[in-house]
Amino acid sequence: MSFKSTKQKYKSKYVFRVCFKGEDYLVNKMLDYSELDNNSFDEPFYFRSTLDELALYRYYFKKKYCTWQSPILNVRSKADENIILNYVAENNIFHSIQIVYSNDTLYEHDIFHIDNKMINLVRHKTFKIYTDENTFTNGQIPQLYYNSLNSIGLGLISPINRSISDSTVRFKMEIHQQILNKINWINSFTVD
Amino acid sequence: MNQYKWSPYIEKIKIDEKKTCIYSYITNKQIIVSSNDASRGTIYLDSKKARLLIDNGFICKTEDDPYIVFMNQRDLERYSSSILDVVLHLNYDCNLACPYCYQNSLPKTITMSEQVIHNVIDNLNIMIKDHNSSKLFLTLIGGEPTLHFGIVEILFKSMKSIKIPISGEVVTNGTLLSDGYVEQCLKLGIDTFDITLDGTKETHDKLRIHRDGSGSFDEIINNILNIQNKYNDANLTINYNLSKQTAENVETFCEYLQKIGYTGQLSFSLIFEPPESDYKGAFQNHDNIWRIANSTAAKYNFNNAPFYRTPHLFCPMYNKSSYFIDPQGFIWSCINGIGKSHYYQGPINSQNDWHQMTIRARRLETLNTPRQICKYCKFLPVCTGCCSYLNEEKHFHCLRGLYQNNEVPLLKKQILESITEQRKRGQDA
Repeated sequence: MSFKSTKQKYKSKYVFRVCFKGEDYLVNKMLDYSELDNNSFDEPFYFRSTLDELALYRYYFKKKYCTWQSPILNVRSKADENIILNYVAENNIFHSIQIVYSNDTLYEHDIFHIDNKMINLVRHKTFKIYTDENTFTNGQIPQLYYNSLNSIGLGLISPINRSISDSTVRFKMEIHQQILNKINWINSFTVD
Repeated sequence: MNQYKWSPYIEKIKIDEKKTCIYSYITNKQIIVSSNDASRGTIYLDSKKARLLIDNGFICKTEDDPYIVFMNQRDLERYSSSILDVVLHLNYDCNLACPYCYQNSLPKTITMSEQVIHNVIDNLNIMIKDHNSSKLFLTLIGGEPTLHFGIVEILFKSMKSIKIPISGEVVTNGTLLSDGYVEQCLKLGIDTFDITLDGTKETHDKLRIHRDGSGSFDEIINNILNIQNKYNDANLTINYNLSKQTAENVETFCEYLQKIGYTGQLSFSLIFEPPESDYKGAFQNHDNIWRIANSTAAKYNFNNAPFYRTPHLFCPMYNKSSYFIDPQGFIWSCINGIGKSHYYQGPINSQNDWHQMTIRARRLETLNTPRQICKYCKFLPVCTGCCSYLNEEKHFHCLRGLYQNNEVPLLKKQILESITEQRKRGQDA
């Protein structure tokens, strides 16, 4: 499965050789990664195509910068901006905070907001992603939630909940936007 | 006030003359707006309100390309680290011989060895650390994953070293679901049993046959009822394969399930024809058989959400934290592509080698781009450019007609019913 021939691979323009304590090292400055130069022609110094090289950089950067972690912090019952800020700072959470929007922050009409828990259920059923550990322990999904889900097909229409301030919502949006900007940058990145 | 436009990835559902429900395929959320606003090309909002609607997939800035915005949001999702999603093939052999099974093309039977099991578990622990996952979702599949109970016992024993919560499911034909097997699964957190049936006894026993030609319907139903009666924690899902042979029997089957007192889920799958198979029982795109089946099942209180069988935003093939592992401990990009070299990633114990990472990166970053025709299709978030396996192995297989005839009417029906119910409750209050 690997391609060892030099004819099939080229050396990345981001790779350079350094001598350290009498030994030669190859460094890929995009990945901030170095290895003893052992005359092999493998990734991440030699690539089969520019597409491969670009793919690796995008994968690497997105993995590093564009992820967030769960479990979700359910802010409904303990909505305090400081708690959220601390939690986000400690756990690098950028997106997965459960927020129930208050009605008046939205566009002059009634909102049918489907609770994120229900979306998680849909995702659990369809894509096996499962994110709310507070509600469903040990992977069990109570029949009650299935029933709620089934009642309208996609989830509950949740009652208006004003337990979170607008500033927190804005905060979440700003963080989210920062990550999106980063992804924009990574996606626009090219090798040549 | 700034200018915005509706995202292309929405469904507009007219409630009455004055109001329209907008459903976002990106977030599965819905809002109600005036029909005037819904029909406008440009809408004016202050930035605070607009940000909420942008983030929930309803609108975008007029100068933005909605496809780029969507792809960025999708990247956030598929690079999420929260769940490590592992599909573990325990063996490639089965006690049944179904004519449409994609594994019929595999050259030989293989069972996971004890050494490979330990190797897999050790590397799952490395993956958990590497991805910083908070949960492991494990799918046990085969062949038939219940076939070699000894292997499963070793697996479950070694899984005790995994320190994060585990949930998961077993995808099985249901013929060998013994008490011992179910109990082991439940102890570990694997509580969902996805059992496939091909309609009523009459059709099932023609299609899902033992090697000696005998039917398997009765033993499966016995096992289902046994689990239902003994294990409250177990979630049962009967997966009804919809094919030209089975589609007519949905109502009879639902009546039968009601009669025997089945209380689990009933879902439907449209069978596709594997590239190497001669099987010709699959329906074409324009058929509305899936909607009819679900509507019929709903009459018997077996309800399902629209799009419940489709991946949301992306196929697991393009998810950073999804892995398909075969019985020899090799990682593959696609569950159907196992055995084909261009889906091969490498051995599980070299998952972090740069070469293997480049193969994975190529799949995640260059092979996931939808075709030009799909970019602004409203179904892109649920269709994801169609099954990459079918696109690569057979031909481009647009699902638009299928969704338009099946999922959308179901979605409209459910949303309108929920709104009627809400209004009724409001009036009562």
